[in-house]
Amino acid sequence: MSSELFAVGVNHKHAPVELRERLAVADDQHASLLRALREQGGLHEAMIISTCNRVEIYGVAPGAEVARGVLELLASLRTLDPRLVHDHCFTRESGDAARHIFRVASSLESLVVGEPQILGQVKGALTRARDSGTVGPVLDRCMSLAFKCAKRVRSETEIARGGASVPSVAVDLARSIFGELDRCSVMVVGAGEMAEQAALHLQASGVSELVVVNRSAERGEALAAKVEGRFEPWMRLIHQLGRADIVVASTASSRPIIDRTLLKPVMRSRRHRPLFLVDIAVPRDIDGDVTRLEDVFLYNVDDLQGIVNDNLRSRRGEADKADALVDEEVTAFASWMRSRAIGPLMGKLQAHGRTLAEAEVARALPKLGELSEQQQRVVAQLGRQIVQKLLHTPMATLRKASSEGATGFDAAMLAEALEVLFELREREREAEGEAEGEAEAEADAERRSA
Amino acid sequence: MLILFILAALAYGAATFAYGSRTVGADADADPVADDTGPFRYARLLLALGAALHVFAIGAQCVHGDHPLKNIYLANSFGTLIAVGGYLVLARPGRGLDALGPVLAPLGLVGLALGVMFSDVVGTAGSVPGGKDIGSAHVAFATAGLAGFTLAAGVAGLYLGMARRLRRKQYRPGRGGLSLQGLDRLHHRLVLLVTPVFTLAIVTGVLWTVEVGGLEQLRGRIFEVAAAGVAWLASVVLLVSRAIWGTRGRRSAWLTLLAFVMTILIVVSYGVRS
Repeated sequence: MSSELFAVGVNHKHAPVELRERLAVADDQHASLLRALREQGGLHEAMIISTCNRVEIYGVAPGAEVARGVLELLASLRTLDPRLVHDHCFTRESGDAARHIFRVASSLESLVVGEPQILGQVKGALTRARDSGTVGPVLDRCMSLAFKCAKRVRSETEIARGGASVPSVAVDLARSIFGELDRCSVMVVGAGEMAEQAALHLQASGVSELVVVNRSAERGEALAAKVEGRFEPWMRLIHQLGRADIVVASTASSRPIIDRTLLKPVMRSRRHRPLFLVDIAVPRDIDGDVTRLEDVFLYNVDDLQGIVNDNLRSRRGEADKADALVDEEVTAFASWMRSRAIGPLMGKLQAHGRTLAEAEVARALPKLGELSEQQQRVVAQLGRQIVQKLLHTPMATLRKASSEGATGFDAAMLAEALEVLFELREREREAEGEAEGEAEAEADAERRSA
Repeated sequence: MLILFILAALAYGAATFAYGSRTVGADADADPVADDTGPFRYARLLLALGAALHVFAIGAQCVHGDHPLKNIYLANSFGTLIAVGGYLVLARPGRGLDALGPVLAPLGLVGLALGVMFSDVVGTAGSVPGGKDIGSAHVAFATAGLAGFTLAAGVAGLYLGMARRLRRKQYRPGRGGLSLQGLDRLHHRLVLLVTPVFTLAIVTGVLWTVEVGGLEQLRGRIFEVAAAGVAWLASVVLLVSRAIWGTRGRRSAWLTLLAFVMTILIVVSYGVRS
């Protein structure tokens, strides 16, 4: 029976968040759902990717109808109206399914094209499916090519270049000024949500020290604890300005808290050490006049957002290059699928050849008189080698036709011709009949003895 | 000899074109370092090929008695070769120093061409009896000094460009390469390395001039001496102020560029005289 790869599901492109969250699969639900898909849905192989932007099932089914039935099963398991799911879902089969999977792994289907998290999420989904025993050869091959594709897309295009959020762009800019941040000291002024986001990003980038300065000690200490930093009271602001390399300002102050007059003596004491000021507060916390001071680099939220927008535009521009890479990997997968489909035929052909050789050798040996064991082995080997040589060319041609399509013949047509020419179907039927006969005879014998 | 010159010139010319192809592309204004495709991919290789052929060309000249210390043009040819070689070592992929390529590739070509065209000019050290050793030492130190200042000035220029783009919010981060502080450190190290060599070049130059023509000749070379003094002072101020007051960044970069301009003026002055 032929097996087809498919991909079905809902994602941010077609389905509203309300539907996605109702279909979302928690980590501890994966195993039971995968089991249900295999047992009730009739899938040979399956894996589920469930993130905030997508709930998708990749699987291998005996036919397209089975794949479509998966959605109904998922809807019924989630007590949803199947029509609702149908209206917002997508279904891809064979090469289109592979292309979709490769694009997802390469972050080309992500809300923020080029974001790195999706690859880890796909890997996690595959691991969970493997643990549940629902990954077979097709999904295994497909996913390994998907990961290879994702790696190529990241390394051969600029799809992942440049931050896609304000905090990540701030970190990139800090790296452009200071290089590695492991010797950099950061001061976060304010304890709001934006300050927290920025502090978390900077902490994750490996800064050596993170100090939170805030008017309210309680909130400042809470943020410092959350981002594994140190709290300093507001009166230490100027002192910390002299120490820090990167300053993130995000207070609710209606007037600038850092201006040129305040910063001038600080910069003198810093002895030309650069100071990177990130002002993500609205209204602004840092007076724009400070840029007149030497070695001061000031970026406000609009500047950072401008870079984010440029980066996202550039990522979208790289998508065409990435698609070409995806096409190459899809072709490789399709070729593997075709060569896989002819595997059983090759096996049958070889078995047929072996049977013929063994039968002919068995008939010839008694006519040759008394032969030593070595001579008998030579005759048996001769029979096998003749058959091997005869079968080599047709098998190689079929393999080539299925993998590259380079012979000018259709692989399916060649396979059909081989089955007819060598009467492989009849022989299979005969073999099955013999096996059934033997089984019946054994059953009779058992009944008689009973 | 001629064939080596032609091949080296072709390689330098091709490297210049390859480096230039990146900066004059359609999107150059928007993103000057975005396009790694096209001829730019081969720029480094072509420059290395040009430098290798340049080495052979100088070797062939030496066989004919035209060694790098014979005259200012041959010394400059050797100096540009050192600068190109130093750049190839410093600008390994991912350090973001590619912007120096479009400057150094044509510089190598000019140095090579002058060295070949004026190889028979009656020179300085080799032709002066009595002052041969000290003159040779002077030309050697001056050549190394010029090459070092060229590289340091190139890196300082990159620093100033990057700092300017950062201050004007025109810089697009996330492309790797050396950071602003990395460029500052690199240019400081190059100046640290080249200043003692350049000091020796000045000392040997003064001694040699006095030995050959006395104080009268030294007075006749007052422009070169003054320019060398300014260049030396600039590099020493840079090193001392960094050590004592931590001066770095733009001021250091401008001092390096000043020292470089002075060395170029000296070379031009020598060229005009000879």
